[in-house]
Amino acid sequence: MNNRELYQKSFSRLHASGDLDMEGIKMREKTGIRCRRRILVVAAVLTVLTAMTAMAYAVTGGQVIRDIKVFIGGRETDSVVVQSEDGRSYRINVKENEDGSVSAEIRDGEKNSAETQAPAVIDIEEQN
Amino acid sequence: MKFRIEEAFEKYKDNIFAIGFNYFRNSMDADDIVQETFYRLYRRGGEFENENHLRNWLIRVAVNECKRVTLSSWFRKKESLQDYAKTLVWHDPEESEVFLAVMSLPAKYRQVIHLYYYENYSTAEIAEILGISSTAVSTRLLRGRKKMKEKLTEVWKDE
Repeated sequence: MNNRELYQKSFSRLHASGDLDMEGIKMREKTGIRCRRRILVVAAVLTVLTAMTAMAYAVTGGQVIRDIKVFIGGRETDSVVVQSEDGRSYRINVKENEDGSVSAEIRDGEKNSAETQAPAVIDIEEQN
Repeated sequence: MKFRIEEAFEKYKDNIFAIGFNYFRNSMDADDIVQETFYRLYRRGGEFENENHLRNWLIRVAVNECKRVTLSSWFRKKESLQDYAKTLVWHDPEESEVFLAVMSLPAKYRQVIHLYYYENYSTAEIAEILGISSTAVSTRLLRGRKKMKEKLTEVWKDE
């Protein structure tokens, strides 16, 4: 057996996950969820969070934010829950817009809310 | 040539996975590359000149996606190579030795060696896919082979 045959035999043992199928991949067209994008959205969330610090400060009435939890498990919406010192929680909803930018909205469950937008870090070009 | 995406997926998904694995040395990132590559094929649609054109397109897109993801290496997933190797079904001990030897090489050698030995591309074709000169490909191939020989004295033949 020559080197090429041995190499091909070795790497033919590698297989993509059985969980992957074309139907699931096509579904991304409908949900707009793309694996890497989801991760990049997290990066965008962090960018947005930085920009939103001042707003969050205002919305929480001057309370210092002491705890941030990021939930990425949800499929439809990426959201961040910010907890202030007095124990109240504020939800930041982050969504990816059609133009590729990322919007974030902070709500305290009552009347207070604020919204901001950040340029997307996502830039995926179609290749032919 | 018209193509059925389901057939293309079944036919090439493992090739694309192997390219992804070769880059990232973990199966989760490799699966992501499979997803992204075939999502792009789905979005592209249209026709290809022939089967080879389709295959080359897929491999080129996969390699480019690997490069793009590599630039954002901070979110790479972690997985033990040794643990993953144990999950594979080897028919011969030499197979796992070759696999682990390749995976121990620096990325620039792994990429060239994989496209040459697994995908049967020429140095000129590899140069085009990776966007480097043919001379650089030949050099990496030479050094990669030398390292393989050092690691696999008995198994890897002189070329």
